[in-house]
Amino acid sequence: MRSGRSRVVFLLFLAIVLAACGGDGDGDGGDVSGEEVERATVRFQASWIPDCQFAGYLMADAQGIYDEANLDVEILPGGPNVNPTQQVVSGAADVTVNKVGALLAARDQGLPVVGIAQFDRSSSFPLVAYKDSGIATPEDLEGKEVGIWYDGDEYEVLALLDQAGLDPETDVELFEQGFTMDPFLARKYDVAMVTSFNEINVLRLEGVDPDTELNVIDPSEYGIAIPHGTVIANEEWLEAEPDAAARFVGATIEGWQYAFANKEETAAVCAESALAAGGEAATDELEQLQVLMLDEMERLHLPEGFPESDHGKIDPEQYQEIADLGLDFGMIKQAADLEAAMDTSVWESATSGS
Amino acid sequence: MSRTALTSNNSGGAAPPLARGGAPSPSHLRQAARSSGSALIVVAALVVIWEVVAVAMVAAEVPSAETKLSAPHLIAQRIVDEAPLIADNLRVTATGALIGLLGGVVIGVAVALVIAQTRFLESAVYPYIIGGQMIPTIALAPIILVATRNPTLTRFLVATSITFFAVSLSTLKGLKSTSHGALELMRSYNASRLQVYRRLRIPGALPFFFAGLKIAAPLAVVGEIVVELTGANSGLGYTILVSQYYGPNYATLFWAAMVITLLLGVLFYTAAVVLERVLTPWQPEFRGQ
Repeated sequence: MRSGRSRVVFLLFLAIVLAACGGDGDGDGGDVSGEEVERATVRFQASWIPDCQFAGYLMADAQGIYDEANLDVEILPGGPNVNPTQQVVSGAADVTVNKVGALLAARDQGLPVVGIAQFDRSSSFPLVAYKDSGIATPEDLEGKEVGIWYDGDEYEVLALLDQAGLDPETDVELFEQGFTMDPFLARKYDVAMVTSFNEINVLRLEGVDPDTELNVIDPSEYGIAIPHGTVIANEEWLEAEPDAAARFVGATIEGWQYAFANKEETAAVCAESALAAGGEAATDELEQLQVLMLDEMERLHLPEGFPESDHGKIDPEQYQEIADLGLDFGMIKQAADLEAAMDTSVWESATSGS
Repeated sequence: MSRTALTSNNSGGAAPPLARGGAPSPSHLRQAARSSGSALIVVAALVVIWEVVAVAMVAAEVPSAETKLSAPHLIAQRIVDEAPLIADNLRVTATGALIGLLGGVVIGVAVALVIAQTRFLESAVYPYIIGGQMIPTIALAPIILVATRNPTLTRFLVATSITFFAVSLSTLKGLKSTSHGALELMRSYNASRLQVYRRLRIPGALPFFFAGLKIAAPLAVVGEIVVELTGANSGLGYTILVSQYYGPNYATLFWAAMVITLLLGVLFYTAAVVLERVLTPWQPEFRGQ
């Protein structure tokens, strides 16, 4: 500065520029208050291998939707040896997605978790039976071998059997099956639990057309459903970062909407996420499966007649039904306190801006 | 003072019939070639039998034949088709196993050196080390993952914990197995503690160290695979897991990943063997005795 006067002018100019900059920063991530939105880190634990079952989360990440919402989201892969609820309880993850039953069972044990969104509207774990075995309804399961998964997946089957008047201990041979469809394809047994988004499509691509060769026993058709797609958050984290949770849910809904509207692109992202980079041939093959998976996820999230504006909303009545079911079958030991188990305000604030 | 005289515990003073520096004699090379040649013939025979059985199973329409036993030519085809995928995941597993092995070696040798100082340390510390080894890896991996929240660190810690035990146990034995006669000789020359270690104890412990390394090296690969099966999203173990989830279409990928893992384990073992040959050529078994 050559003279005192120039210095004053310069400082005044600087002050004006800084004041102008300080006024910016509202409107990011749908923040209504107009304040600067603090960037938050969210660790999301996928409940299984991160493929199109989690398309909304993967696409929100890939398309920068989380980034726009000022979130740094880390998607942790799941698998047969990862307990997603445990990861959230221990603080290794902030939020996961699992069945309603998993949320209620965890709360029953006094674990600090809260449901903040519900994506699936119906059950995604039906039983399938070969048509030529003649098994078409729960009553037909009497005396048959039924391969199912445990660790919380068995309750829908137990409820179905009870409704049909069958005793799971004596009238039906329930056994634990692995997560591959090979024994079922080899006709080692006639009835298997599958996921409506993966195994059923694996069977389809293996030449067993579910529409013509299999009977599907869908728990939802019998009024018994424990849907997946419950977003479960760590209670402490939710208390500390309610805004980040809302932004996460909002961005995830957007991610799912993008995924359903751009299935080919999404399938490619999911295939790569599942097979962890590299091979062209394997991911090309897998993409076909991922598109089928996406079709099913869309059916689960937004069934016919379901308003799109309610995408991801928790239905307290449905939760109550599941809690009653759970109490009957030992999934939970005492009546659930649903007020504490779910927080509907998160979804409300997530969708109010859009 | 020749190293061979001090460190060969078995030869009891007889002059070695071969060159001291460790250069292999022609007869020794011929012997090595013969034994690796016969090993290769056995492997080739096994692959042929495998191919015949696999093709027969498909021809006989055995259900899920390809999943139960994929034919070697299909596996080879898959490896070629999926070369980038397998290479990427191989790199992840190999790097993790190598770093874990190095960690296990460093910690194992350090623990052995410390414990060798006094009897008290050995009886006080070793039971806990052994107890720690009793935790099954498949349980350990998720526990460490939850505690560290860092998948890369978890890989390293699990591989290290699997490998360090074999290395520390064998190195400790080696440090304690120094010949008394040689020790007395060193003492008579008024050698310092450091000189005794440098010239006598450590070279003498090397054969034992390598015995432990040859066990630990393939174990490092196994440890990596276990970690990848319990909550990772890269590596050959993960490929094995995912190819099971997506059905029989991926059976050959499953087998391809298994075969590559097997070869990786063999590579690690062979590397340990070669290292031993290079660093301790004076061992009696390498001198054709």
